[in-house]
Amino acid sequence: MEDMTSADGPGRDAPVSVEEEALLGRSARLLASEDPEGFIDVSARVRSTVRATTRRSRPVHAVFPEDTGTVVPEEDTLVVREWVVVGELREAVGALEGVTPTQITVTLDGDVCTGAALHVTATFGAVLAEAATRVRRTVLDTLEDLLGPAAFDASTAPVDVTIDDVLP
Amino acid sequence: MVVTTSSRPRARASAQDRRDDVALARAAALGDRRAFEEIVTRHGPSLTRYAQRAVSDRGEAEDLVQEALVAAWRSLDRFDGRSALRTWLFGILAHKIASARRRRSAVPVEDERLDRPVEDGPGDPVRHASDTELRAALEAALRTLPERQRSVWVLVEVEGLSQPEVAEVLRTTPDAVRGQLFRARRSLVEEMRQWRT
Repeated sequence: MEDMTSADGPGRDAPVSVEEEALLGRSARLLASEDPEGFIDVSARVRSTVRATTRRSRPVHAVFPEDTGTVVPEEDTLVVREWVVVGELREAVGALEGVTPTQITVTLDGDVCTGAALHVTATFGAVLAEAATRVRRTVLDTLEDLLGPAAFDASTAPVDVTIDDVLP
Repeated sequence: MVVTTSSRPRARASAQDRRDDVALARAAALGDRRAFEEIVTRHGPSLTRYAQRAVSDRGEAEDLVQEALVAAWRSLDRFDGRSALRTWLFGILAHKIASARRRRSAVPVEDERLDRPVEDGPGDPVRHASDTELRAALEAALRTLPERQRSVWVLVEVEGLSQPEVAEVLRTTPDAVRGQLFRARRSLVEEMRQWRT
């Protein structure tokens, strides 16, 4: 513990009085109530930077859709970053009633997606087994839509769902 | 009569605020930019207030807040929810401020003395002082504090962090925070003594 005495002069180690306390309290409330100048500008810059900032993320192999009527040369490649895949899964699972995703991990073998693991919270009253089944189905459908059936085999890919909590 | 405890925190986060923060942080960690923008809206003003008192240059303070928030966005997947989100954010900002101080050469503390109110004015000078004048006096008094004391006082008294939370932000011990807070309060009172009746 630090020494709270001081050689700065008499009174430096005395506690503050009620009157002094009131002055400090009023001063602190004044500062706390202010909207800091410049924050609007900071906020705009942060939003702009965040929109342009990608996180470190692994590449995930995908295939071009076949039903667009356009012939795609075999050597052309389509790559989706892992965090885009996670974002799509978050949107899809988050749209389900009664569950909220809290962690999403995409399983990769090299750059091939082989499955996913999700942690979710469920709303109190939800039938947990049913909720987990809906999550699993949604994950498989989303990955197949996003990556293409040739890049993701929904019939064999494991999806691990963990329900971490049931919330009101 | 004297009191020895700290004055009440101004903005103690409620349990609901904390739960909302955790939900926003989780969503943002999964790439939800709107959730992160909500975090910026919730905590950005506090971070900016703190930074503006931790460094003397307003533009530098704003840059540091921006750096801290962008760093938070990049590393939200490492936020484990054991600390309050705002404690975690203040910790990132405090680290940025400390790094900035190390990078630049020492800048002498502005030794601006507060403009004393008229001593022979009528009535209770505290009661009649305008908020603007009091705020200017406080800002001047704050500038006379060592940076650690100033940070501790602002985080506890203005932003409402608990002493253990401040210890976590500044990477020190709660006892050290308590000592710094005591000295900061005593010094501020001394600097602002003309405002007392």
